[in-house]
This record gives sequence, C-alpha cells and structure tokens, in this order.
Amino acid sequence: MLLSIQKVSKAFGGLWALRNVDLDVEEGEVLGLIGPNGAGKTTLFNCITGYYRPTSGKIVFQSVDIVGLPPYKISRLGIARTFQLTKGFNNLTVFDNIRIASLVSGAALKDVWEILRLVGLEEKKDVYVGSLTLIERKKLELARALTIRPKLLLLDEVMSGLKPSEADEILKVISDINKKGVTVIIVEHVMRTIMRICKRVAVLDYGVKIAEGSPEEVMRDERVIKAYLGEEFVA
Amino acid sequence: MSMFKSLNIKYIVPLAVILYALPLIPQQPYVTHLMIMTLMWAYLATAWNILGGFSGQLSLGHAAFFGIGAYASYFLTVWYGIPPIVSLIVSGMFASLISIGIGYPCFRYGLRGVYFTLATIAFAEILKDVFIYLRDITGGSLGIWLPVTHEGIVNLYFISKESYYYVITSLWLLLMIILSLAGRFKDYLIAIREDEDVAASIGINITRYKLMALLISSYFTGVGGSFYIYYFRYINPYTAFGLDTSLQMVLISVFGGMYSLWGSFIGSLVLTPIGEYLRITLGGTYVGSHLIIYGVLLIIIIRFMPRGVFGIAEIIRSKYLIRGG
Repeated sequence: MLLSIQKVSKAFGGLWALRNVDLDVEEGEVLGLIGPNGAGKTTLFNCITGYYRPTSGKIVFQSVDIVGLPPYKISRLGIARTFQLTKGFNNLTVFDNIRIASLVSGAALKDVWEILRLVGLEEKKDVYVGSLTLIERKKLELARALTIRPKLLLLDEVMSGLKPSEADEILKVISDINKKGVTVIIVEHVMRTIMRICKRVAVLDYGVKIAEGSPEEVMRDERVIKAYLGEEFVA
Repeated sequence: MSMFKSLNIKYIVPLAVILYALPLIPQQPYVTHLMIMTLMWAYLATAWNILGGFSGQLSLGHAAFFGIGAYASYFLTVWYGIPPIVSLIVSGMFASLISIGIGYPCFRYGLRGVYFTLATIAFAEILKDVFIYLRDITGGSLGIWLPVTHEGIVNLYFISKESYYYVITSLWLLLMIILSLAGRFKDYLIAIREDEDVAASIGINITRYKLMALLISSYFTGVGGSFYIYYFRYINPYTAFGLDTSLQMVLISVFGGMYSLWGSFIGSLVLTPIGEYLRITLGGTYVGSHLIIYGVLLIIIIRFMPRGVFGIAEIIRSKYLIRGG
C-alpha cells in the first residue's frame, strides 16, 4: 500500500470539512475521488500535501506518517499535486517554469524536454505563462507536478472547464503517466471522465466518505445518487 | 532563450573594462563624484533587489542595514582600530545579524506582503530613534565623523576621488559576478516571488530561502553603508536609517526593472544623475522639489512599463523570438 489515510478529520472553526475519512491507495492504481462541490475533496488533498494540518488522524505514505510535515518535505518524499485554480510563475516562460521546477529534484535538461513533450507543451516553451490558454495551463500543472518525479500524483480537477475533446487529450496524458508507474488520485466532479480512467472510486459528501468501489458499483449506490441528484431520484 | 539566461558574465567583462577606463578621461571632481554616486546607488539597488526583486519581499526598510553597516564601520575603526578595508567586509555581517531580527519572525510565522513591508519600515524607524537616543554611544542626531588618517587602500582614505570610484565599481562588479554565478539560488527566489504555494509544491523550503535572500541582501547593503561612511567620512541617523535612503534603492531598482539583474544599474544610470542635478539646481531654492519630479517619473514608469526600462528590451526581444519561431 502506497498511501493510507486513517480517520482523518479537518475542522475549520466549527465546520467539519473532513470527518473520519479512511482511504487506502494501492501502488500503481488510478483512484477517483468524487463528490459534489464542497464535499472536502480539495481539503483532503491539502491535508495529504501538508498545506493543511489535519485536526486528527494519520496519513501514512510508504510507512511514514507525514502529518505535520511542511509541503516542501512532502513534495520531496514524492507526492506531487496540481492546483485546482491553475497557478504558475506567470512572469516566466513555460520553459523556465519547468526548468526551475526541475532544479530541486535535480532533473537534467533533457528531462525537462521530455516532460514538455509528454504533456504536449513543447511548442509553447517560449510563451509567458500569464498568456496561456486554460488547457495549456492545465498541461503546465501536470508538467510541473511531473518534475519532482512523483510516486504519487494528486490531480485536482485538471479537466474542469475543458471541452470534451480537450479533456480527452488530458486523459490520455494521465494514462501515459500512470503507465510509467506513477500512482494517481484524481479529483473530479464530472463522472464521465472518472468512469473512463479509474478502476476504483471513492465518494465524499459533506466531508464523509459515503461510498467506495468500482465506478459501476458507486453509481448504483443509493447514498451517492442522493448526494448528487437529491432524495427523489433514489429508486 | 529565456530572460534569465541572458544575464551572463560575458556582459560583465566588457562593462568592467569600460567602467575601469572611464577615469582615464580627465574630468571635474564633481563628475567623478557623480560617477561614484551612480555606482554606489547601482550597488545598493542591486543588493536590495536580491530580496525585493528576486524573492519579491518588498522591503522599505533597507536603510536599517545600510545604517548598521555605516555605524558598525565607524565603531570598528574608531573604537577597535580595525583597518577600514577589513571593516568594510565585516560590517555587512552586522547588518545580516540585525536582519535576522526582522526576518526570522516575519518569515517563520508567515508575515506576508504588506505586513512584511510595514514591519521593515518600522524596523528602520526604530533603529533611527535608537541611534538618535543613544547619544553617548552613537553621537546622537549630530552624527559621527571619521578622523583623518593615512591615505591608502587599507584605510580606505584617498585624496583623489578616482580611488573611491575604483572601490565602489569593484564592489558592484563583484556583487554582479556573485549573483550571475548563483543561478540556482536566484531561480528559487524567483519561484517564491511568483507563487509560494507552487514553490513549496516542487520542494522549495520557502522560509529558508527567504531568510537566505534577506541575509545576503542585508550583508551587501551593509557593505554599501560602510563604503558610504568611508567616502563621505560623516553620517547621521537621518541619512543612515531614513526612509529616503530605503526608497532610493527601491525606486532605482523598480525604475530599471526589478526582474532583472541589470535593472538596478540601468536605473541608477538614469535616476542618480537626474536626482543629483535636480537636487543641486532646485534643491536649494525649492526644497524637496527634486523628489516631486522623481515621484512623477516613478508613476509614469510603473503605469506604462511595469517591468522597468530593462523590461522594454525584454518585451521587444521576446516578440522577435516568437515571430522568428
């Protein structure tokens, strides 16, 4: 087991964004994490990557409890993430973004090129990040996450806001990444994309894990249907 | 290829030759003084830019480090008899030491943006008041004078202004070479400036690198303060720790282009002579009017070229590059 989330809770004041979440991630899989807006998906990512400290619970990565470690240390352990609202070094070119991101892990210049090729940003290398389109920014998120040579990759809505054809393009990149042995957790609230790439899906609702299993099982689950569509749709 | 690649040592060498050759042309002492001031402010702005430009931590209190450098040099020279050439190097360490006082609490506990800036202003102002108040030690608001001594590089005391020009030119060139070689360090600082969350996500220890930027920036600023007192032989707390001194470094750096290593030099090349000229022609009759013109210039720059003078060159180049494929 690569990552084990054990009874993790996170409270903001009186609001519980996560409540006793248990989740195990196997090495090499692509796990989908879904749920309606505000379900706590991004909060869980922030807890795993050290941006938030869980109120209680354990997060064990390769048999090390990583709760309390700062983000940069967790990154160095091999957990990479993307940001839901795309971020980047806006005053720098695409190439410099990836080059600088590669410095910490000591990747060579040829690795930078390979990453740019993998996500399909080769031709945009001299463009300032501030003037990229949305899909290009999403690709940059992926590329930057790859520079740390992650064992585990956390993708926070990398396909939201994209046209179906663009989403397919990203989906292809993710599956290429996974084939290279990188374990992936994808947060999405679009079921369609999740169904196509994940063999296993976990569902969060109001900070509680309400279901887990294959996409088909999860889609039939009463609580999931209720969370997504409301009481009256439950058969 | 990329904007930071161009800041190469190969530009520094020919520039060094030109700068060192300049005094060979006979000139009025006043012109030499102007050249010294231009290089000194280029040096100070470059030092400020390590923290303010590269790591994006806007300090408006760098006079604190400038002042500490100047006063430390005075104490080391007059009280302990340490040769000024040694004091010049050591005084920067005192500035670094003092900088921890503001850097550690701010960076460790995440005082960001405007709050950090306010803290730096307050820090310099407090030091100013302390140095005015401790009259028995610091000479109070009257300031301090360095006694006349033997001429020579060891005492940093020269009859000819050209020698001071060589000293400050060498200091600036040394700083530029160091920064040109510290590419990776600079890249980390830029990453922090651009986005701290992203910088952390790729494994950069933000607190550590911000502190390092501050230590290095304040060290060189302190050395600049040390040069100041050896050149002018006098300083008081208002000059040493004043907001004017801090602002001057910021203005020059922003004007020239704070995203680039060369910006501070270009900024000083334009602003310092204008400032000195305005001060001499208008300063006597209309006190402070040179600052108004300065301010207007800065507003124009920030409005129309946020990347400074140097930024324009970059924009032209990147457009050409994209068109040329």
